[in-house]
Amino acid sequence: MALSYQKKICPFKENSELIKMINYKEHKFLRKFLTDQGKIIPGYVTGVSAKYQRLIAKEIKKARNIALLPYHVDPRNV
Amino acid sequence: MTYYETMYIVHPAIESGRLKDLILSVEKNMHNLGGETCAISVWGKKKLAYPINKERYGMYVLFQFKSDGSSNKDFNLGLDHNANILAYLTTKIEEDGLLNDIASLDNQLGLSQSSETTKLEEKPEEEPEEDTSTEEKPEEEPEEDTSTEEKPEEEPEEDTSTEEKSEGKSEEKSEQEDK
Repeated sequence: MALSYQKKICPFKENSELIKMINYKEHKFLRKFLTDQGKIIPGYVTGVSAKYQRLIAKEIKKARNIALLPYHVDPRNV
Repeated sequence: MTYYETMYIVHPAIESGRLKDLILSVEKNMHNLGGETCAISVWGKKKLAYPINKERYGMYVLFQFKSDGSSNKDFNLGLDHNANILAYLTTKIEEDGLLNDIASLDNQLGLSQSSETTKLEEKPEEEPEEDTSTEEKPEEEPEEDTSTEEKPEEEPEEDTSTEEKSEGKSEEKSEQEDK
């Protein structure tokens, strides 16, 4: 069972300047952490550490409240 | 006293003049509740991620202020009762999050057209002067060309003048003959 497994590195631990981008006003950056349907991508897929995944999830929810990001996107309409 | 910011979406049909009044009324409301304005940033008309009150577009305004949190409830209530505001979000921010070097409200809304136009008028006036200075050199060359070209033009003119003279003379002669 030799799985070719490469451990993902958290982008925020590699580049500390990106931490400032975790803000609901930076909705274009936060869109990277959403699927096409508008769901939040889990941290184990993107490689974001739990600490920053919590922040991202909160800021995405703020951005959704003020209509900068969608709650859901209907794939039939896209 | 802590720093807060409120982002609110204004109805897209509102004109820039009325938008300014609305922004100032929101600011005044905060002042009456004991807050201090730090910055106002108008993001402009943007497409909403989902329709609110059947509106697909909205004017985003960011209002940063300093207050003790006790009055924020009343402030949000005031935004809620305003029919022109589609949605709002008040959040707590750190001092680092304050916006600096923001243009005045009139400039952001494009209302200070008189001052802008004067600036714009001043600039073109300066530019043509520079252009003329640069254009003077090429103008000199054509002048030379024209001077050379004028000579052949003059010749026909002279010819015509001589012809006229000859005609005049002939007429005079004819007049003399009549006499």
